[in-house]
Amino acid sequence: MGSHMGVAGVVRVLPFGRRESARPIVVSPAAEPTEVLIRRVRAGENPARDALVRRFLPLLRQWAHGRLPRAARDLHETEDLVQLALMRALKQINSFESEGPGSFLAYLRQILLNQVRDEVRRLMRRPESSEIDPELADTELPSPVEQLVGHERLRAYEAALASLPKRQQGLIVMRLEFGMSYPEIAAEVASSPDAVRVMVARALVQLASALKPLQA
Amino acid sequence: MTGDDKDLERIAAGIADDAALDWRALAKLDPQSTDTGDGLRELSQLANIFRSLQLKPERAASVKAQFRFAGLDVIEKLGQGAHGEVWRAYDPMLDQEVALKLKRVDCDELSHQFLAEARRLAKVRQQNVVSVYGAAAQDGRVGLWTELVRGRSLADVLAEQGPLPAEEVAQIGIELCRGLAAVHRHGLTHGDVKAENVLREVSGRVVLADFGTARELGCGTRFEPISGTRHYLAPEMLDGEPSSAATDQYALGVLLYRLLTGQYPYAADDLDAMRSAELAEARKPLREARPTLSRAFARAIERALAPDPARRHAGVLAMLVAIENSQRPHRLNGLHWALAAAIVAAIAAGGYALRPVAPQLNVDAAFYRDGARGRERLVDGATIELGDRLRLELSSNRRTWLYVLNDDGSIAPTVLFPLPGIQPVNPLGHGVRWQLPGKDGLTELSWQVDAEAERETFVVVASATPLAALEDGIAQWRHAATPDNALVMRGVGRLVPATPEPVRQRGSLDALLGRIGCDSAPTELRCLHFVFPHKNP
Repeated sequence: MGSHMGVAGVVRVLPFGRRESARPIVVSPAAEPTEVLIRRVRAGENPARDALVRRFLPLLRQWAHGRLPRAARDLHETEDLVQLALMRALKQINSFESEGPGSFLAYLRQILLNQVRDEVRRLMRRPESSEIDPELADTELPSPVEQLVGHERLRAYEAALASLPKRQQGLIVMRLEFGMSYPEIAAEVASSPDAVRVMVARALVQLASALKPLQA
Repeated sequence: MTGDDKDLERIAAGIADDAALDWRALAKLDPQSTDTGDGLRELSQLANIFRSLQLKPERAASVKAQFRFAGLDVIEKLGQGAHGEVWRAYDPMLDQEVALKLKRVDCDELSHQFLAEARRLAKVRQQNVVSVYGAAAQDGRVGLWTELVRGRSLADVLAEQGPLPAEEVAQIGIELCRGLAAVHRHGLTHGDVKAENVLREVSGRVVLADFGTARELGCGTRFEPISGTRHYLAPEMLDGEPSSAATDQYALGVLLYRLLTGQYPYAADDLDAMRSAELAEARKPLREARPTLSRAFARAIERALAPDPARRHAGVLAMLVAIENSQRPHRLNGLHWALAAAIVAAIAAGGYALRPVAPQLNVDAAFYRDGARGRERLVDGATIELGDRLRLELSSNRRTWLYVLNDDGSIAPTVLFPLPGIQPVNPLGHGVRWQLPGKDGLTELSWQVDAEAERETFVVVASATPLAALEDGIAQWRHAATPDNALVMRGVGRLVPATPEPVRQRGSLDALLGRIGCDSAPTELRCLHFVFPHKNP
């Protein structure tokens, strides 16, 4: 796998799945592992901090796009929200306890998710233009994810995800929600794409058995 | 690592790879793994949704909308049906393509009914049911938009390749039972289950589509014309009854019959002749048409076709269990008891461990659930659900005659222990932690909850002497079904979760228990009640 890691920088190593060109986001392989960057940020190094932001902002931005209700999906608002979450995470970085490679992304996602919820609460206090048929929604301000998945199912998924070790959460989130390729994840967790694929599959089995089916 | 673990991992890797879900491998999992298998099914769909949100298709800009409806860009007409048109459209808010059904309306009342129905449909989110995203009335038309399923209808599949392999039909049946169960749980019926309305996605997912327009809503009058396809209509519908969970089940039976044989169970030129044929059950038995079909599978389908709704499966979930059981190799069936179990707070003793009121007979009993994550003791108030596998662990300080009954409120309870052909038998020796129901040869058995109910009541009677009154009853009552007669099920109520069950008449079981002395709590006798509420519906 050594040679793999070498080329991973160009990230022409394609994922096993079909879709390659859709997303230009790439974890720069030349960069240091996130774990190292976090240590450097804690030591007060500003360049490391910028590197972390550059690494995660695009991923989080895209993720947030599907998680925010339409009323908040104005580009600037999304941008602000994501930046704010990231800054908050960096500010509290000393309280972040790494549970292995990949757990930082799970941690970021959680902070952003909380931020999104706050935002939704804020929007609900604000009188808005009427929807076509607001009663169709499970909540008053459904995000696209909620609308597509359904409120209860999404909640069940979140609960099951939260029950897994952080490291596994990170793997699942990176692959399923952020759509990172195996080589990208491998670069993030300092492993090989093949090993990542196996780890993701195992994490998914764990998640599946933690998922309390809503319906028989 | 067992073979199943490897299978699960392989299926999960497929989901992670964004490959088509291996439904066939899922269907072959051992019963112990089915919960995890269900979880993987769900994850597969969630993964697809997450991915659809990551993609940024440019079709919004590149494809020209023909017109707009309720904020959707309507792109191309996919079909025209009796009840309206179906269009491919683009929803800019969801950033997804959707299927939009449009129809003209000529009165306000109708569009109100339509929107009300759509709201209820939108609550049903299950992978085997098409997801409804929105509905609106505009410019004299009502529209309902749903996920756009890319696949072929079973009618097309059938026309192209003829009757399907039995395992495939079983898998389709299982998926559709799951889907219909979700529909019924919301107090809805589909009303138009047929091959044309079931889509098979490229991935293999089976999706029940096209309700919402299934029912013709009346304008002004309450008259509701029959809208289903004649061959799929249950006899009671031909008598003018509205569609129900039981008629959906019937239609599913017709569909599965057709997938297996290429024929409808009954063909007739008019509705009267159809009704007579249905009532007379003048159809070719499935095993005549497909001699290789397993008896259990044929029975599971034919039961859904019973002319009397009361003789059909107690609900589509019961049908699901029957189909599943018919597909498993006999060896695995050991774990499956077509019988419902449930427990409760002890009514008499106030706990599940019997208090040693009298030193003569001291019994310690607790129910356990066997699950994917091992054994779990069912504590007071624990909920159980369809498919749960339960065992009773019991020990006593004396030789004990034990009787375990499932009291479903009917006149006769179901006997869970002792069971013919199953070890151990009465009396049970003291000082042993007995695992019940016991073993069929070498196979450990458990009781499985096979029907929905509000709650399950277990009566456990332990006695230092044989109880003639109970032994007599046991000779007549139904016994927990072994795999061979798994289709003989308890008569629980139909799957209508919205309306709470009326309080049942306490029948003769209580009287009997009183006669043998449960009320007076003699020292030679212990009578325990365990009541477990069903989770949901």
